[in-house]
Amino acid sequence: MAVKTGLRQSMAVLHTWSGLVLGWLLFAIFVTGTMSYYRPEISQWTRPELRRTTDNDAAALAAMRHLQQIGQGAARWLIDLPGTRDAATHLAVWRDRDASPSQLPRFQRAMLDAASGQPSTARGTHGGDFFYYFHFDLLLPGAVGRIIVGLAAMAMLVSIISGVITHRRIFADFFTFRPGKAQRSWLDAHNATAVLALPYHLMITYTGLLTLMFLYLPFGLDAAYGNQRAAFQAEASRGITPPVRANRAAELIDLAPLLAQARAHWPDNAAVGRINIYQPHDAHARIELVAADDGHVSHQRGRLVFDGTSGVLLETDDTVSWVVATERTMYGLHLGRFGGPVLRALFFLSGIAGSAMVATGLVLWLASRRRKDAVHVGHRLVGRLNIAAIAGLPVAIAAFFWANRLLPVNLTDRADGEGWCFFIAWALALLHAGWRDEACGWCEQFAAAAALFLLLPLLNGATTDRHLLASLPAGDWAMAGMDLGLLLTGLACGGLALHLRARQRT
Amino acid sequence: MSHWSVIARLLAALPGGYAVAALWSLAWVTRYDGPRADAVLIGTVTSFAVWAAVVLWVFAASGTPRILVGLALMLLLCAAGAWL
Repeated sequence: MAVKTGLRQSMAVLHTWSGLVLGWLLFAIFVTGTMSYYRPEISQWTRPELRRTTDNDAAALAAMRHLQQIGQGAARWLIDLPGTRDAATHLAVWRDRDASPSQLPRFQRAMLDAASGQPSTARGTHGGDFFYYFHFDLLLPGAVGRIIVGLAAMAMLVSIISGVITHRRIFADFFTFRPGKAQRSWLDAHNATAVLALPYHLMITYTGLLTLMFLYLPFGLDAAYGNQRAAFQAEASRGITPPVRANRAAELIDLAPLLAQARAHWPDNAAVGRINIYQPHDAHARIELVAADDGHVSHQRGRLVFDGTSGVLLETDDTVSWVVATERTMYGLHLGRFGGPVLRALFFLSGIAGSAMVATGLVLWLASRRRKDAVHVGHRLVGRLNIAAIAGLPVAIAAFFWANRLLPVNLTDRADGEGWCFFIAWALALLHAGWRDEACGWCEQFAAAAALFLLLPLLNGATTDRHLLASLPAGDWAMAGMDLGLLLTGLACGGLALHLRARQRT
Repeated sequence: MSHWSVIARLLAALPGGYAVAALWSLAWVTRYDGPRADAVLIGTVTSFAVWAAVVLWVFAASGTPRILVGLALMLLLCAAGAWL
């Protein structure tokens, strides 16, 4: 018995410290990751000039025409098709160092209006990509952000397991909720959000580590493949071995029949989601068609490789080992792009529960220490940082969407300007938290977030013609869903502000 | 558990666990009798669980000698798997 108590105690220590040290960061990672389930919808809302098309093939052919114009001397072209959820086609061009003409950039991006096939006229914005990239690299240069996020994910994994061991009565605790009892209520809320989605939390944390596993633990890969990572990519069903140039110019074959062949090849007529063209001007050109990732859990997705000049099918990934299939499924689980709207909504709600678990954990850490110890300057610091990290984040997110609608369309570096608005709003929240006393800080920041979110659909109506009164009757679910989601977020923040104010008065 | 004990254990658990996990993934590449891509994937995918397990064990174990001997044994075992 003594041993067991000792184990639970040391697990409690581990849980507390691993949770606190990276808790603020984990909250931001969880929230932006949860938002990323709706990355294409956020991108649509932030580019109201673009309208969704249902003709994916036409978008692909238009992309090819555009790449023929802008992609001279390239080693690789990439086309990310809009699929059923986005309105833009994203293009990328890579050139070798020895490419001619040499004044062209090594790497270049372009975005097309998928409906017209012409270069996008939408306002400059990172859209849903802003939150998506923040989620795993914190928008920091190089691998710094990814390594920090990896450490946070490890802390999360250890926190979850030690938390489960600490809370021996975990399932009984789940049915215990003692509202209105300050610290007990926070503890119950922490336990409820943790247990409610426990399998999700474990899955999302572990698969999150796997998405960047070769950055964190490259040793096995290096030992087996050395500098031949491309061979691993091919053998693990992640990509093709890039072809060696024949150094003979050749025309690419028409893409349309290949698209049809791909659909016929894959079960359920899955659409093509991504097109890679290697050495597009060379006789050894290869065209790789990758199935859209909304059809199945596994991120193996289905890949077909064609000879780019003859159109002969060279490779498929119809048979992969159980290991590759398992790893690709874990990867796909993290991205959560499979399944319909209902499953996506459940993932989203689980993500919210995870965010709430981290937030209540942070609040609880402080509450339990304040009860036991004397007034401590460190506690005041943690208290203020809690406010800015938890209540300040929704303010910053709302500020991003406001900036998207209000910054002048012809502003230079407009997309980055929106990002700056996000960080400036967050910094202001931190200043505000330091200035106000703690209870007011919580209330006022949640109230500010509520006002900003609740007014966003109105701002959308004032600045575009795609407001709720238009999007709902038209069945424009991306726009309507975003506006309704913003309203719900505003209501939730407002509810929290009112609740906290009521508690402050008693 | 004192603050110093927590910090000392963290210092042992994070790099120690990382080293065990790295050797673990290498051992799979050496030992697995199948496609090398599979060996890399199994070793690396499971290595994060190994790392987490080592961290938890370091906090659960009682006493510095036990922790140091245990870590050394785990490292030796995985290194033997990787290179012997």
